[in-house]
Amino acid sequence: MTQQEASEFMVQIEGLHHAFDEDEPVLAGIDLHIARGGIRVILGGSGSGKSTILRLILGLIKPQKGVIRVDGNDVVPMSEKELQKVRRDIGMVFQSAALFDSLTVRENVGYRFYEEGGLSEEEIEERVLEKLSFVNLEETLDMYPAELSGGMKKRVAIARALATNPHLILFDEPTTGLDPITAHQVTDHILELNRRWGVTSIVVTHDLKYAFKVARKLSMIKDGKIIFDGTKEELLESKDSYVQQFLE
Amino acid sequence: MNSLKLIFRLIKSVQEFSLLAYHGLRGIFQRPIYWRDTIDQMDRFGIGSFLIVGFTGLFTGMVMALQMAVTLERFGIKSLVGRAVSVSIVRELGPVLSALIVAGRMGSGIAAEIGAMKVGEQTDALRAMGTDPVRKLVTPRMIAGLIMMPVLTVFADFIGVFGSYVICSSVLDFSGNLYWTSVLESLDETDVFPGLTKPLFFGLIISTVGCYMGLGTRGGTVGVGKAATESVVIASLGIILADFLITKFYFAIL
Ligand SMILES: Nc1ncnc2c1ncn2[C@@H]1O[C@H](COP(=O)(O)OP(=O)(O)OP(=O)(O)O)[C@@H](O)[C@H]1O
Ligand SMILES: [Mg+2]
Repeated sequence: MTQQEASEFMVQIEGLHHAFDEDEPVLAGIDLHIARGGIRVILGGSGSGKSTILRLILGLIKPQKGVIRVDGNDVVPMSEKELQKVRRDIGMVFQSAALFDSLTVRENVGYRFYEEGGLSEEEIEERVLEKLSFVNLEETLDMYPAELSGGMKKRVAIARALATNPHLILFDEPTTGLDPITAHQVTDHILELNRRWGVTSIVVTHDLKYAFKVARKLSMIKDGKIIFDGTKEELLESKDSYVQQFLE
Repeated sequence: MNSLKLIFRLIKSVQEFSLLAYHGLRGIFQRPIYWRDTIDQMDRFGIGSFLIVGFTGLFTGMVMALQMAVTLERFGIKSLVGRAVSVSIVRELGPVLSALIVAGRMGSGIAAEIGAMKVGEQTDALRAMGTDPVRKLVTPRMIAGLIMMPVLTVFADFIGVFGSYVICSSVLDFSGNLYWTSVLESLDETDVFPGLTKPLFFGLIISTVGCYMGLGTRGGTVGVGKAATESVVIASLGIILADFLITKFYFAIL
């Protein structure tokens, strides 16, 4: 792969295998190429390994085999310390929001700034409010996660993922468990991030309605393999029986 | 075949546990140290445990006085009650009973809290945002255990000896002076030294086991409950085993 080709993709995954313990492999040879500035939806049933792919991209777990390049960096052999640099440029919205219960929304969204130091309290507040206003939740600034509804937690988690202006954001089931209105708001956020700042997004979901709304391209995973890769139109025309089952 | 697997898993757990303990302890000497978390943990570990530890100490001291009096009276040396009680409290009962009580309270608390963070993906979120969960979660709890367990033990010792005094002076017709002189005469460094080393280890065991079980939590909320229960059992057994080893060690060198 030449340098030219490499820089075209934000995320390149080749021949990815992963198994937990001695169990059946969860991923058995995944190839994914995600273009810079694109929005890719990864579809798949429960337990098909969608969250696992995102964890592997972040370097939270190491694969048995395979190559993962994020913005040209091969993350698989990296140490935790090297990964920190790469992760600074990646936002992650976890499936369960994963806000820190013991911290306020301000401290959650500004976590990295408090951690890294060097910014005044006012500067941090300004940045935190900027991100919260993106998800229309400025008023939650001094609330604790326990005081927020499920949908608000998800949106605060999005604000937190945006804090360092990452170029790549990973969304794990961003609309699951939300009412249709909030779910639409969240998908609008994803689209707007892409439009305004050219953020590349990977959106994991099993919710077709929202998948079609945000996706440029979709990939479907089953039994540890990618069984479909293409546009919405191609997906609708697919003859694969599992794909058709999924569409029903 | 199956038992072989079990042994392998046990060895692996011991190895993982030791690594966690090592990384956690190393965190005490390296930056960043999360002071806010450390102070918060010390507050929960120590201040929150004073009451139950004091209660345990008081009644242990009183019971010991009653029991010892019966036995010693038979040999006509009832005057040695203060001596016998204070030595057993400072050497054994104070450290061990306080640690067991705190293991029940903090062991489960630590494991449940960290376990909930684990299943709620918060530990992953920490890593995703550049924080080492061991530094942020484990080291502060280890420091809290290391500092607060000895403090709690000294407190329990005093209360225990006091409880025994209450019984001696009220039920057993001892003069207060006689009691306190015999206590002070009997205690020396061979009691106090082991009595103060033990809680250091016990505190460390409670915190580290709680963190280890919490970080290893799997399987949602059910897993959190399991981690909490198991951490109390393992920490308690660890305390009893460590007590034996430390006692043996001190008998060998003192
Ligand atoms: N830490 C782990 N240890 C062992 N097995 C795991 C672990 N994490 C995930 N698994 C297993 O790996 C498989 C894939 O999990 P993953 O979370 O990636 O699925 P998913 O596609 O995100 O599912 P869902 O839609 O339910 O979130 C599942 O069978 C799960 O049980
Ligand atoms: Mg998932």
